Amino acid sequence: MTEYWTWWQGGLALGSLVVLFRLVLHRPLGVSGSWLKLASTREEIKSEQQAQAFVSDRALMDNALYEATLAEFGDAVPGTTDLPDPGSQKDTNSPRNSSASFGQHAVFLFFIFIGALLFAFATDRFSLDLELSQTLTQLSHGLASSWVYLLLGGVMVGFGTQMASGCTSGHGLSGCAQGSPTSVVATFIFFICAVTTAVFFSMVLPQ
Amino acid sequence: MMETATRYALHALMGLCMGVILAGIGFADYDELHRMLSLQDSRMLLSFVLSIAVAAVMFLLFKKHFTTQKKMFHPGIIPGSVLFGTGWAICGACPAIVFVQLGLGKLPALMTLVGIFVGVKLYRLVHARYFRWDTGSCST
Repeated sequence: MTEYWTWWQGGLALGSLVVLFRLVLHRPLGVSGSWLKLASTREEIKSEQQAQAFVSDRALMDNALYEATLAEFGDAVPGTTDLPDPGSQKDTNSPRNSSASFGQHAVFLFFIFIGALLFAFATDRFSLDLELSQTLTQLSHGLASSWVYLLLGGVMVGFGTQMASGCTSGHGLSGCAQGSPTSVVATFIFFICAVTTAVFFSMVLPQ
Repeated sequence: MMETATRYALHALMGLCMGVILAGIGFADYDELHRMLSLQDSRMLLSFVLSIAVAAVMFLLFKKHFTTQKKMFHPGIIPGSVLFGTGWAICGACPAIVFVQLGLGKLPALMTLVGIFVGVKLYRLVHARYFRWDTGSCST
């Protein structure tokens, strides 16, 4: 059996990462959101290009702001001298400033892969395997069918995490640590379902 | 420009740390996960619970520095969690773990990667066509 970190080493490291992520990137740790960006590459790039063109074209932006102001207040626009300077209200922790671009999400996901790769080489655990696990091969009655299991399981994970707006990191780690009732409910449900499925698999697993 | 480059570097650093930590705990090991979920071994479950406790205490201690962003409840939370939990036990991976499995050289994780990609795309289509609720998260 492979040696892994003890429960308290893993817990301290993972818990610290959740806080560090929030502190450094000003947004909660969550991977399903990054997947959403990755799966909408074309739309994300187009949207970022449009936003860039919009911001760089001062006249276009002024017109849009003027029209939005008229739509909101009509002709009775309050004196702009009373309004605070937007530049003086910079809050680096606000959701507006915390949003990451498509590229940053992609880099984050790619470096999860790189981190695991470095760990595997550093601990001499890297090996190219066609089999994920003997347990899975036994469960699915063959190597080829185990790949079909993985595909179906993957679809359920992708669909489910988007539908539930989070996964083990977004709901389980970040959400529960912040005491979000929605995340506590979601984490309880996905753990119960995962445990039920795994216990069922253990019962039908050939001895 | 400099700020953007720094943010890219920070995302890379966070991803790197996450990959190392998840691989070190063993979350990418199908057999370890199966033992945890079938209640045969509590090591990873204790790691998970401790990490939530550590983060919760730090968030409480330094709450001045963090703006709370609690997730909103919508009709997709329960059915989505049921699907995710079941799928997690079947393929042994959540959206982060699939990258860790690939980093460890587990080629079958490519099927999981394709599956998750298809699932996310499919949900986008289904949501736009049939569901009208505001999910309000995972957009940052």
